[in-house]
Order: sequence, then structure tokens, then C-alpha cells
Amino acid sequence: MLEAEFLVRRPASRVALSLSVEPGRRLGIFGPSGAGKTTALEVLAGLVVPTSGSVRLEDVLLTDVGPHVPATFVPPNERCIGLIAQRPQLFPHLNVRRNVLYGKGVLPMEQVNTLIERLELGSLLDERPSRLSGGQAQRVAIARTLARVNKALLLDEPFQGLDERLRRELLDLLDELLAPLMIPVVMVAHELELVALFADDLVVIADGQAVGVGSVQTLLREPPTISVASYVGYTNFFALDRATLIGVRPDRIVPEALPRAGYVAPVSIRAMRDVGTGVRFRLQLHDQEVTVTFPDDRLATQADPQVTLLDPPVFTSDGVFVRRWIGSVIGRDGGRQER
Amino acid sequence: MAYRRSLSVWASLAGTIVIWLVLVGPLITLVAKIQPSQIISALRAPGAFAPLGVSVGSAIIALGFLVVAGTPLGYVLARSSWRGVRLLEAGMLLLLLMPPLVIGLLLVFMLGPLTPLGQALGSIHLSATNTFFALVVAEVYEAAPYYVLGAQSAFVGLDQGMLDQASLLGDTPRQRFFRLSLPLARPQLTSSLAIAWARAIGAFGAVIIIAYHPYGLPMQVWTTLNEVGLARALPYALVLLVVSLPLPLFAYTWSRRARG
Amino acid sequence: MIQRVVLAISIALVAALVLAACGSTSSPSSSTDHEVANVAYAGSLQLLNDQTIGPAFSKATGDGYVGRGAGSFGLSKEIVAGEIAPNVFESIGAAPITQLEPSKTSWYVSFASSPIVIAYNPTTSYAPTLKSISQGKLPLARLFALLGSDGFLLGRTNPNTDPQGQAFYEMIELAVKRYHLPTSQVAKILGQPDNPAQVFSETSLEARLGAGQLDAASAFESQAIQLHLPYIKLPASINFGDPRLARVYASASLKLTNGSVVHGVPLAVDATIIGHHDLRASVAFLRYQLDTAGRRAFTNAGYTVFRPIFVGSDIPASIKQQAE
Repeated sequence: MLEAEFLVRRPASRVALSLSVEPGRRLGIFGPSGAGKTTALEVLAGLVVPTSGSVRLEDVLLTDVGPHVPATFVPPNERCIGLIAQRPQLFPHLNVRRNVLYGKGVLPMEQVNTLIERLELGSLLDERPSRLSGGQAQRVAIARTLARVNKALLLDEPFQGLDERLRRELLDLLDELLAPLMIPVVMVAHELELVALFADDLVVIADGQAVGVGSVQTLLREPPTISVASYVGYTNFFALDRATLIGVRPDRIVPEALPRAGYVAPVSIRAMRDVGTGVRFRLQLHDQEVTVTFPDDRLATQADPQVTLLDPPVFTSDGVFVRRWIGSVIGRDGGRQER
Repeated sequence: MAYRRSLSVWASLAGTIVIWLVLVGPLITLVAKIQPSQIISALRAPGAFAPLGVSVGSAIIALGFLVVAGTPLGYVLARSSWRGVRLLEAGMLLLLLMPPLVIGLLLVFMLGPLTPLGQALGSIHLSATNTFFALVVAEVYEAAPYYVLGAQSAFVGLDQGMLDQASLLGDTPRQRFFRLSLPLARPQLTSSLAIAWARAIGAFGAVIIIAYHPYGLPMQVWTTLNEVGLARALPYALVLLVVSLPLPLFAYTWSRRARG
Repeated sequence: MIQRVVLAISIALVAALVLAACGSTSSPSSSTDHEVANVAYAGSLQLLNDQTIGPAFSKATGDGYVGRGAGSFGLSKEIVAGEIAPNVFESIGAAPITQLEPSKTSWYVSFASSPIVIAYNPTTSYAPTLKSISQGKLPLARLFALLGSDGFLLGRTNPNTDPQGQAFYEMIELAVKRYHLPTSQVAKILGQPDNPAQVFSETSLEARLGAGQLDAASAFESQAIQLHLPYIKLPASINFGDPRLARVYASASLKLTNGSVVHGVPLAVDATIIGHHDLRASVAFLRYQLDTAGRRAFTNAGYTVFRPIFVGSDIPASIKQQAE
């Protein structure tokens, strides 16, 4: 189990987080740039000493810093924590084989060879990193990190900059390779889709602190506040009445009236454009302008166009989540009542 | 349009050659003024090869010292987060800014035979006054900032992400230095060393103050100039060029290939 | 983009060169009324010429003054090779000038001398003894015994290139003879002419003495005064400062590294005009040196000034007149 609770105070920023990840589970840390996600990984990896706090892995204290004496700090090379970074970071003066086998704690050659085969690196072992394509280099980076005993794994927006298809491929590969290892995995990303696909639990981070914690579904369906909702993909909020706000997610709207599926709203079409993958509409929904992409232009053929927001979240006028449109109400006593 | 473009290409090529000619002018003059017979007669004079041996030998030792002592210093200047490092860096810059003549004069104050350091050296039979050791010392001081600041620049350019990976893969800081930092920095370290070599072997300002003897090639040029005249002194200048060129040339071409 | 930068730089370079060329030709000497005395002189005359005599000369005559100092022999070589073109040359000792005859000049005038002294460092352990010697409380012969003692740090300049270096060496010879010391004492004091333990460049010598890293060093009396160093005066028969004793000085000789043998010559300030077309300003400069104001400047700087002695032929009449 990986547990951490720390504060990093710097001249221009402040990051305070608390997290815990069971072996075999994957935690996603998600938030906008500059929120402190990379700092969190650096603290876990031992690349940064926090101002105060602790990091514990499998009951071993890796970092313990604070006003009390003595402090504990295990350097990164002794933590057995692996990191797959945004860019491959291969060592240019060593060939692929020596990159993969670099360092300590390397697994028995049989297992390494299996890994190499799985990642299709067999023919590249004698090449220098400069001769590899982006995708090949990333696979070597994966092999290098996984070719040794890791007690935890950190992923920092991996496969950034590769095209969609390649990214997906590598993520699937990584998924498969990680499954048998029962270790805690922490992934950091600023793209929701990535983290939603990969992680079991989510921490939404903004301005150096966690603003939402929970499973992916919970955070997406029932974001605790409007602020968190805006981070996880809700683009608009309109007032239903003086005390209620409804959150709008463009990917949870259908171009027809389905009252049993959610909230139905009349819209007027401000603009429309065929973008190849669908038709992008700019709609006026109550007092909000919402941009949505539908598979076709059906909406434009309706006399009185209407859309349905699929089971949207409902918030108080202070921005606190109350219930889903169709789902249960969270009462003041914390209990749930069916509608 | 094609005619226009090629005109500007020609103009800039011509401009480049003009700049180069201006900068390389003295060398062209040297080669133009000396006849082969002069070189041969200068080198045939008794003891003519001694300064060559002195220059090369002392420069090799000076450079050896700089590599051993200057590389770690450059590394610390580049990567230490301690704020006092700025002071160390300023020190190196001051050394760079000081005219070599002034460095020589200050070395007299520091290492003269009646100073504490000078006497300490004397107790182990070393003297920093007109000896081979003094020559090496003068060359070290003249060349040091070039190498140290160059080494610093080489280590600053290292990719932090790559260094972090090496740590996470299990390297102790010392292992990481030798296995990653040094190999990655090597091309730039080599070109800094080439510059330091040129400065060491051509050192004159500090040398004329603390190491009038034994004669290296620059002192040989100077005294021959004063004793006999410019024409007889120039062949030694040519010898100096020929001897000191191969190492930097090799270093530059090798580091270009390594970087490419 | 790079092409544009290169083009711009080369235009700037050419422009700068043109400007520099223009700047150098429009010097004060472009008008015939104001010429420039371009003086090359022995390094030891630097302070005197550049700070006192040069400016005073310019002020008095309205002519310009430009000076450069270096080793006399080196300057002589450069003049012969045409690398520098001064119109007045002042050396210590006549040898550098005789090397210029007959192509560049045919005469010189000797008008001041700077005897050799032994400057010493007041903080050295030998200082009390040296002070007593300088005050006459101890005999001078003691000095030459002291100089040869183990551990005494003596400094001098290179006899192969510097008149002072030559004269110092020869002075020791004369002293050893005069005080009836064993002839081996010369080698004991000096070692070989080019002795690495003692020979320094001029700058280094002064720096070392000033920094207290030498016990004593050779110096011109004028130098010791300028540098505010205590010194021991030597009798005229060995201090190379009296031109009338030239024959005595000549009895000392020294073999240089290149094999040639030189005999002692008085350390007189010898001056000549370079080139056989006498520029009005150069003549004026020499006349100034020989005049009251010039002579006073030399005396104040610690030189011994005497009645000018002319050597050679075709001496400009106006200069000869000045001497009378």
C-alpha cells in the first residue's frame, strides 16, 4: 500500500495532498497544468523533499519530514519505485539493451526477455535511441522501467505527444503488463479521458490541493461542487430556478427530447458546422451558450429543436451537489432517498 | 526571384569570408612572412627543441590537473542548489577577467619564496619561482577558468529528467555521475579542454612573471625577439601553432560527430 | 535569416575599418605647424617621459608627444626590422643605438646616466645589515660577501636582452676585483649569466621586491627612487654611471648565451633621431631634453645629469648648439 500526506511550500506555489493507493489499484491525479500533479509524483518518487509530511510504501517509511526530529528520507535510488515519464528519456549513449538493463534490481533474464518480446523490441536491442521512432522509444522506456522489481509505479502523462492510435495501443499494452503486478499505480494526467480509462480512483487537484476524491464514475456523475464539475468536463451551469443549478456536459447530450432519460431543454441553433467526425452546433440553452458535437445534423431538421441532458447533476445556488436529475437525493442527514 | 536570392546568398558568403579573413589575418601574415629556410635554421639552433618539450610537457601536466580538479568543480557549479555556489562561480569569473599579467603578479604575493605557502612548497622541495613547477602553476591559473566554466556549461545542459530516471533505476549519485553525467557531458568537456589546452600552452602573462625560466615556446619567442629580432622569433611561433593545433582540432571534430 | 545577420555584420566590420583608418590619418600632425615627436625609449624612462617630460614638452612647444617604452635591445631590433617607426630613440647604453647604424642613424648624444644601485626589501631579514652598509657603517665589501651567502635571494634581469642585466653582471666582476675578493665569488653570487634562480623579467623583478619575495635586486638609482625602495649606492668606478670612466667599465666582460662577448659600457641615457630626415618635432624634443627644464626633470627623477657628449657624425647643428 502506498500512503502519502505532504505539504510542499515553494516561493511561488503550495501543494498539499493526502492519498493512499492499495496494491493493484490505480489512482489518477487529474487537474489543470500547474495544479501540482507533477510535484506530487516527485514527492512520491523521492525526487523532492516535501516541506513537511510523509510517504510510506508497504509499511516502510520512505519520507518523514517535519518539525520533529529525526527526519527520514530514503533516496530515490533505494525506493524501488518506477516512473514512466512524458518523454522516453532514454540514455543516448547506450543501446537499447543496455538501457533496458540499466541500474539495479533487474529481473531474471527470462522475465526480461519475455517483456522484451511482449514489447516487440527483439530486433532493436542493438540500436541507439536516436535511431528509434517515437513509439519504439516509448516501448523501450516501458521495458526499462518494468524490467526490474518495482514496489509502486508512477506514470507522468505517459505517451504525451504521440498520435491517438499509438497512445491507445501503448496504454492497452501497459494495462496488460501491469495487471499481473499487484502494486499501487499512480497516474498523473491533464486529459480526463486518459485518466478515466486507466484509473480506478481519482483525485482532482487544483491550485495545489485536492478538490474532489472518489471513483471515476462518482466524480463524473456526482461532482461534489461546481468547481470540481468544471474540472471534470462540465462546461456550463444554468439556473433552473433561484435555488438550483444544473450542470451541462457536452458529451452527455442527445439531440432529441427524452424526458425519461434526463432534463429536456429547448435550444436555438446559433451556428452549425460539419467537422467531418460529426456536426458541431453552437446552441443557446436558456442563458447559456453550449458547443456540442452530434453525429449528424438531425437537430437542425427539427422545427422546435430540443435536446436532452442525460441525467445531469443538480447543484444548489452555492454550487454544492444535491442530487442527480434522475437519481437519488442526498439528504441533509447524509442518507439517500429515492425520488 | 531566383536571381535575387542567389545574390543575397553570395553576399552573405562573401561577408563571412571577409570576417574570417580579418580574424585569421595574423596567421596568414605569419605564414606569408616566414620562409621554410628560416624555420629550419631556427629549429637547427642548439637547444631549439627544448622549449617545445617544456611547453608540451608543462601543458599536459597542467591539463591533467585541470581535468581531475576542474571537472568536479564544474559539476558542483552546475548542479548544486546551495546558494553559496554563486560565490564560487563569481570567483571563477574574476579569474577569467583578470589579465594574466595581474594573475602572475598576485601569484608572487601568494607563492613567493618568502611567503608561508612558498616556504611550505620549499619544504617539499618545490619552488614556484622560475621552475618547471612554476610554469605549470602559471599555465593552470591562466587556463583554469576556461575549463571550469566550460565544464559547468556542459553539466548544466544535462537533462534533469534523464538524471532522475537514472536515480530511480537504482544509481547512487556517484554511479550516476560516472555512468550518465560524464558520458553525456563528454563532447562539451572535450571542447572546453581543447580551449584550455590552447590557453595553457600559449600562456605568457603569468609565465613571464613567475616562470621566466625554463623557456617554453612563448618565452622563447619573446626572448628571441628581444635578443635577435622578429624574423628569428617567428619560426618558434609557427612551431607553437603546429604543436598546439592537433589536440583542439581533434577534439572539435570528435565532439561534433558525437553530438550529431 | 543567418545570411542577413552575416551580411549586416560584415558591413558593420567594413564600416568600422574605414572609420578607424580615417581616424588614424587625421592626427594632429596633419598640419605642418604641429608635428608629433614619436619617441621610443628604454622601459626605465617610462614614468619620466610619459608623465613629466612628454606633457611639459608638448605644453612648451605646442608639438605632440607620443611615447612607447620597452627593452632597449628589443626596440632596436624592431626599428631595424621596420616594425615600428619612431622618430626619436632613447636607450640605456649605446649598444642598441650602434645596432641601428648606419641605415637609421649615425650619431647619438649622451646626457644623463643612471647608476646601478642595489635596492633591497626593508622587511627582509637581511635589511638591518643592508641598511648599515648603505649608511656606511659597514664596509661595502661586506655587501658582496653577503650577496654570495646561501639563501640570499638576489634578483636581476636577463643580461642577454637588458643593458641593466649586463651592467649588473659586469658590476659584480668589477666589485670583486676592487675589493680583492676571490674571483670565484662572481660565480658564487651570480651563477651563470642566465641563472634561472636570479633572472626575472623587469616587471617581475619590481613586483617581487615590492612584495617582499626578494632580499635585494639590481636597479637603476632612478628606479629605486621612483619605487620608493631603500638602496645601497655603489662607487662610481663600479656603478656604470659615469661616462668618463668608460674605460674602467670596459674592463669587465661577459659571454652571452649566443656566444658573443660584450664589454661594459656606461649606463648612460643615449638619444638619437631616427631616419636621416630630421623632423622638426623630434629635434625640438631632443633640444628640450638637453635644456634646463629637461635636465631638471631628469635630476629630480634621480638621474645624474652631465654635460652632453656627442658621438658620431652628421649631428644636427641645432642640437649641438643647445648643448653649449
